[in-house]
Amino acid sequence: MTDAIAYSSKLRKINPQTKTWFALCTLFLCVFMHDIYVSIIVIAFMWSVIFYGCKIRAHELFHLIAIPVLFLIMSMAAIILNISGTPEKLLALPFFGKYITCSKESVYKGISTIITAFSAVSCMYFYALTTPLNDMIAVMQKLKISDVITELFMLIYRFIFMLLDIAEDIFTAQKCRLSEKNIKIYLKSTAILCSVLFIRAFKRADILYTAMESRGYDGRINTLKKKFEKNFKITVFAVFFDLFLIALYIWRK
Amino acid sequence: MSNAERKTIAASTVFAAMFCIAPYAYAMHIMEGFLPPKYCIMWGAICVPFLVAGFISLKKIIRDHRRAVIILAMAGAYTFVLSSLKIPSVTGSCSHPTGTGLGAILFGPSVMSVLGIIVLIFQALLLAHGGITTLGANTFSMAIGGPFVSYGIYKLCLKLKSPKSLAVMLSATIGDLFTYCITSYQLALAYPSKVGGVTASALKFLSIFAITQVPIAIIEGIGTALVVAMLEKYASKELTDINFLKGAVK
Repeated sequence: MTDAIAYSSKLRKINPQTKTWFALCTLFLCVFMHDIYVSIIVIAFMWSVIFYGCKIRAHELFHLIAIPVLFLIMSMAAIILNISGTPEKLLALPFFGKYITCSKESVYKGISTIITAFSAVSCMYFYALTTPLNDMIAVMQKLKISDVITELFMLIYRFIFMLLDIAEDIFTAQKCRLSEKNIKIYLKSTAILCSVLFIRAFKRADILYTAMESRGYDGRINTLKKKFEKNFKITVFAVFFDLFLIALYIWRK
Repeated sequence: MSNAERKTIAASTVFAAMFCIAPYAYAMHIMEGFLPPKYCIMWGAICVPFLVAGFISLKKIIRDHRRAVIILAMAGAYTFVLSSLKIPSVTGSCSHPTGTGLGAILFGPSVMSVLGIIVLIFQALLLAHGGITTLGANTFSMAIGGPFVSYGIYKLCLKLKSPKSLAVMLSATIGDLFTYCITSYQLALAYPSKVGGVTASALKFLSIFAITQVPIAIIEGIGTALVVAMLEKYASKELTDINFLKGAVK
């Protein structure tokens, strides 16, 4: 979970609105420009900020990186490799009378896609690792997104951790009773876990509703909005960084 | 070593590497920044009518039932937790279910579309699966396509008087496979191959992801059937309690 890291991040106190717009703008710039140099600069900048601002342990970093990298490897294979009757110069493996081949252009396209995708991922990691979800929801409220949606966000966020706790307890208890002995037992105990989790979740929801109603709940959750201080220097820097990326892109064209 | 031998070894290494990757595969989220902007916008636009319809029915439900907000939120959190659970996979290690089949059967497909997009945003921000620019594409495949097909097949099977467990199993499996086909097609549209265009590229993506997705879909089908059977045994009261979610959707 990136949230735990975000709470202890040094950059947490920066105005989340600034962070949101900076991360989103940079993300869209990366995707729209699809330029290797821009992407490399973004990757370098985002990761240096992440390493400076957040304490990440090696195995956490590995988990964060593993998922996108594995997706990349699998889909890169499909983009780079072609099955055709005519072998290309770069690589040609015989395959049932045809060839698995790849050309220079497809390799170049593959690599530029990898770098762009990774720069986009870096932007998102920067955002997720420095901004706790509560702050993100506060930004959403500022943007006047429908109350129903922000309330759902808020509640789902709370319930996720509650349910994860319950699920983990059940999982540990099952493991003590050799629930992972073979696939059949594992499947059955996972099914038990899901159904018990469902029952517990809705019991909790019932209790919560009673508690809220007795405190005057009328279908709306009214909370005080958090105020964030504005930091002029950081905003200016963020704007300059994005302008610099645009300038670099135009200059390279 | 001759040239041919070297190539054979290289090919088998690539083949083996793919199987090494397979155990870690997650539900099919398209990664952040992977789709060109044109397709990000297009898939996002396609989702809008479904989301608006879902949102309107959601508002109606909430207006009629005050408890609904909390129950809906619990349903969303439940879907999120389901998708982060490990299920056993054939390769001996674990993979993750999409949980959308179960969600669609329990809560109805229109509600799932709105809950689905919220869950996808949470997955992007908390677990870094999927992403913001690919949100539209992922929403279409996982929160709209999958649930609607699952629900349709579930209703169809019940109409044909098939046993409920079979209906649940088929709907979850086919919903999962459908999600995976849409994702492959989305990737193929964005990256058509030089020879054969979109179709050839879709076939390539389908065959590469089939290694992980087909076993996951079958296992999720069996798992979902088990869960629904157990829920009917132990949680019939809760199930009737949330029936209004589906009732208001029609």
